[in-house]
Amino acid sequence: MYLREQFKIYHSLLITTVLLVGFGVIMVYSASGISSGEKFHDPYYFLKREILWATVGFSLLFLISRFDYHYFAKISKPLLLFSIFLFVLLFSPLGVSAGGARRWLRIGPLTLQPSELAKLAVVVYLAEFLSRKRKKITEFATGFLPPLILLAPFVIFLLWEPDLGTAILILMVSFLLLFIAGAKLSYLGSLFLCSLPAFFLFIYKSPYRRARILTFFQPCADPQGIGYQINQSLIALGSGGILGKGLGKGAQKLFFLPESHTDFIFSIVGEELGIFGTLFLLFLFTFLICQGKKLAQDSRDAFGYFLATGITLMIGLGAILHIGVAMGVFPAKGTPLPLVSYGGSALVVSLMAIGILLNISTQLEEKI
Amino acid sequence: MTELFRSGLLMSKKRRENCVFFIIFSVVFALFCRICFLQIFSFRFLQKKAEKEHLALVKFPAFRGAILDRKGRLLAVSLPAESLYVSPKFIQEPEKTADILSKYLGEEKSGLLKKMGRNENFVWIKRQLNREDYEKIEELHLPGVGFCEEFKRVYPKGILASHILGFADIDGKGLSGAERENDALLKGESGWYLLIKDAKRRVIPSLERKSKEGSQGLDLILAIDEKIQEITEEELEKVYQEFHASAATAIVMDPFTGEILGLANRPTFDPNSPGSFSPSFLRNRAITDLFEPGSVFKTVTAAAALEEGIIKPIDRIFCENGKWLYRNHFLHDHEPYKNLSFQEVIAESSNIGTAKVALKLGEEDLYRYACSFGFGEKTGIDLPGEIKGILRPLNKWSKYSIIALPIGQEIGATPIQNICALAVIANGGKYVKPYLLKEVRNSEGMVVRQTRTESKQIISVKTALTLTSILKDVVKKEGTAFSANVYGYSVAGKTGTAQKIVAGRYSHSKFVASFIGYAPADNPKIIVLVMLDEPKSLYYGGLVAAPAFKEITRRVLAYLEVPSENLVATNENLITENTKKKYSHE
Repeated sequence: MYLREQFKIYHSLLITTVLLVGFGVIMVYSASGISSGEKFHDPYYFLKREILWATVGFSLLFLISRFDYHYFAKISKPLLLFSIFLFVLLFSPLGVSAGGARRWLRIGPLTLQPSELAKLAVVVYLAEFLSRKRKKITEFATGFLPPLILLAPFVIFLLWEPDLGTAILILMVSFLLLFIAGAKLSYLGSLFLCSLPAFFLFIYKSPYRRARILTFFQPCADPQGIGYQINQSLIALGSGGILGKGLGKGAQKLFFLPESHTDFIFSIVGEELGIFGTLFLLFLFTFLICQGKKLAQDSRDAFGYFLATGITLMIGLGAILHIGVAMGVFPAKGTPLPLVSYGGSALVVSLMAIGILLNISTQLEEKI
Repeated sequence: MTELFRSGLLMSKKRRENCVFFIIFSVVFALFCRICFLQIFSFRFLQKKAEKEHLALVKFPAFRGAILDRKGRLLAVSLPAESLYVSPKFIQEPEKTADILSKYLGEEKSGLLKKMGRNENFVWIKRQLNREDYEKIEELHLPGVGFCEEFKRVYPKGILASHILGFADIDGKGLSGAERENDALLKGESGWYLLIKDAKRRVIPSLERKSKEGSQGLDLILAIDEKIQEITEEELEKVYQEFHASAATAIVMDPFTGEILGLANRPTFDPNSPGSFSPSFLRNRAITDLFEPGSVFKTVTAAAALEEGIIKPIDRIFCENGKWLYRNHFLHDHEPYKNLSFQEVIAESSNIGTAKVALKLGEEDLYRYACSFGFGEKTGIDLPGEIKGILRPLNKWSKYSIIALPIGQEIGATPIQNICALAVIANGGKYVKPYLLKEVRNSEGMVVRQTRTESKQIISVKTALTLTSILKDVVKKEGTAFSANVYGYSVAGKTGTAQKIVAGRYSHSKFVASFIGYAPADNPKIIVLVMLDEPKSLYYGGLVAAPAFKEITRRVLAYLEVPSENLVATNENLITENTKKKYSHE
C-alpha cells in the first residue's frame, strides 16, 4: 500500500517536472529565437544552452534522488557558507554586471547566479534548524533569532545586487516556514512591522522601483513610459485569447517585452498558446504544490517535512510571483518562472530541489 | 510524523500549514480568475491594442482601368510613376538633401526644409515624378528620402474629348466626366498586406502575414470614335474662333442607338493639367448649360400636330405678314410671310405659322409631346452633372405660353436634350437614351458589360418620315440653312436662333445659334448638333452653325465610308416614291 503511494508521488512529481521543463525549452526557443538571432547571430543560442542545462539538471536530479536526503542536514551549514562565499565572489573580477545589476559570476564559459543556490541553501538550512530546534522555536533567543541572523547576509547581498525579487522570495519562504514551525505570531508580526519601514525606504530610495510601484496602481497612465512592461505583458496575454496566435507566431517577443524568455515567458505562453497554455502551466504548478504538500505530510521525519515544504514553497511562490507580475497583479519585478524560464543556475538548482523531493518520496512514512 | 502529531504543538503546526496553503491556493485561484478575465473578456480590447502595435497596413494602389474609344484607341491610361517622400527622422543632412532635391525638382529650398522639419514619419515632397528625375535622385540613395510607386493618369490625346473623359485626381479618383461617372468600374480594388513590426519599428519578414491581392480596374470602351471626335473638335474650334463665340458645343450621335460618337465643347481644357484652367472651362456645356431651343423646338410642335392628325403638310396657314398680335403680345417672323403650307412654315421657320398650329393642337397635347421628346427631364446620359432643363408644368403656364413654347421659348434645354429630340425624327419616331459607355472589359479583354440601347417609340414612323421630308426642305434652296448642304448626301435639319435672356428680357444682341441635322436624311448614320453661344457679327443658326454642321457631317460621312447618294432631282423623287410605298404598307 505504502509502496504504491510512494510510487505514485514519485512519478507524478517526475512527470510534472519533465512536462514543465520540456514546455519551458520549447517556449524559451519560441521567445528568444528572433532576438538571439539578432543579438548573437544564432537563433538557437538560448535553446542550446537551455537544453544543456536541462541535461545537467536532470542528471543531478536523478543522482540526488538516489541520495539520502538526510545527508543534506549534515551539509546544510557548509552549503550556506559556500553560498555566501559565492556572493562574496561577486565583488571579485568574476562578477558580471548586466542591466544595472551585478548578479552573475563568470567562470570560464559558465555563468552562475549565486542567488539561485542561495534559495536552496536557505531552505535546507532552515529545514535542518527547524527540525532540530522545533521545541525551542517559541523561544526568541534560541529559536527565533538564529535563523534571522543567518538570513541577514543573504538579504543584504540580494538587496545590494540588487535582486529584490529573490530577496522577497527568500524572506517569504523563511517567514512561512517559521510560521508553520510554530514561531510566535507576536515575533513574526513585530518582525514584519519592523521590516516595513526599511522596505519602504529601500523602494523609495530608488526611482525606478518607486516608479514600478506607482505604475502598478495605474498601469495605463503612461503606456509608453514606466508602465510599459506591464502594459506589454497584458497585451501579450490578452491578445492570445483562448486559442493563442500559434506557437512561434507571437509578436510581443519582438522586443516589445523585455527579457521575454526569462521574466515574461508566461506572457509569451499566453500570447502564443492562449488560455490553454496558461491554464496548463497554472495547473502543473498547482499540482506540483499539492504533491509537495502531500509529500511533506507523509514524510518520515521533521527534517523531511520542513525540507519538502520549503522546496514546495520555493517553487510554488516563485511561480505565483512570476505569473502575478505577468498579469499585473504584483508590482513589476522580473523573476523567472521556476523550471520554465531560461536560466542555467535557476534550472539546475530547481531540478536539484526536485531531486530532493523525489528522494523524500522514496522514504515515506509507513501508513497503517 | 505520527509521533509529532501527538503533541499539541504540532497540531497547531498542522493548522498553520493549512492556513499557509489555503492562502497559496486562494492566490492561485485569483490568478486563475485573472487569466480567464484577461484572455477571454479583455481579449478583443487587448487584441486591438496588439494589432495597433504590431501591424502596419500597407496599401498598394490598384491599376486604374483605361478608357478607349470604340475602335480600341487609347484615350486615358494609368502609367506607373514614382513619388518622392521623406522620413524627416532619417534625414542626416537636411541642408544638403534640400539642396539636391530643390535642384532636381525645381522647388523652393526653404519649403523643402520646412517639410523635412515636420515631426512626422512620412511627408510627400513631390508626387509622380518623371522618369529622369526619379532615376537621378534614386541613384544618390539619400538617407530619409524614399520613393513609392503610384499610378499617374495620362490622357495621351490631350484636349481631345476632355469633357467626355473628365479627369482623375492625383490619387486616381475620378473627379469629372466618364472618369467620375464610372469611377467604381475603373478604380479596381487596391490590394494590401499587413506587416508585422517589432518594437524597434522594423518589419519582420519571417512571420506569416495577411495580404489581399488587389484587382485591376476595368477598361471602358466608349461609344466615342476618336476620329469623329477629332473632326468634331477641329470644326468646332474653327467656327468658335471665326465667330468669337463665348462658348460652343458640337455633338455627333448615332440617331438609332443613342451612341455619342463625338462631343466637344469650347472653351475646353487639357485633362492632364485640369488645375491650370478656369473652372468654367471644365464644364461640359453639352449637358450642364441651359438654352432656349428656339426654332429647333418647332419640329416637336410639328411632330405633335402631325401625329395628332390636326394638320397635313400641305395645309395652308396664313402667316399675318410677319406680325401677329395675340393676347396683347406681338409675334414676329424674320420675314413677312402670307400664306405658307405647313411644310413651308417649318422649313422657313415661321413663328406665327407654328404658333397657330400649336393653338389648334392645344396646351395639353403640346405639353405631353414636349415631355415625351425628353424636355424637362434628364436624358440620363452617363456623365455626371447633367441638368434637366426647364419645362414648366401645365398649371404654371401663362396665357402666352401656348404661342411661346411651340417656337422654343419659355423652355430651357441642354444641347444633349435638343439633339435627342431631333433624333426621334431621324430614327423613325423613337426616343433613344444617349450613352457614352459602350462596353466594359476586364483586364483579360473579356466583355463584362455591354450597354444596350434604350428606346421608346413616341411618334409613328409615318410622322417621322413626313417630318424628315419637311426638314430636308430646310437645307434646300428655299430653306433657312442652305449652307448645311453636304455634297452627295441628302440632309435634314433644323436651325435654331434663340435670343438670350439678359436681365429678364430677350436680348437683341446676344443669341444662341444652333443647327441640328442628320444625314443621309432617309437612313441617317449620324445626327449632328452645332451650337454657338453669343457668336459675334452673325447670329442666324443657318449662317453660323450650319456651315460647321456641314463640314463635320461631310468629313464624318466620308470617314464612315457612307456611300454617296449621288442625288439628282429624279433620284430624290424616287426616294419619295419609296417613302410613299412604306406609308401604304403601314
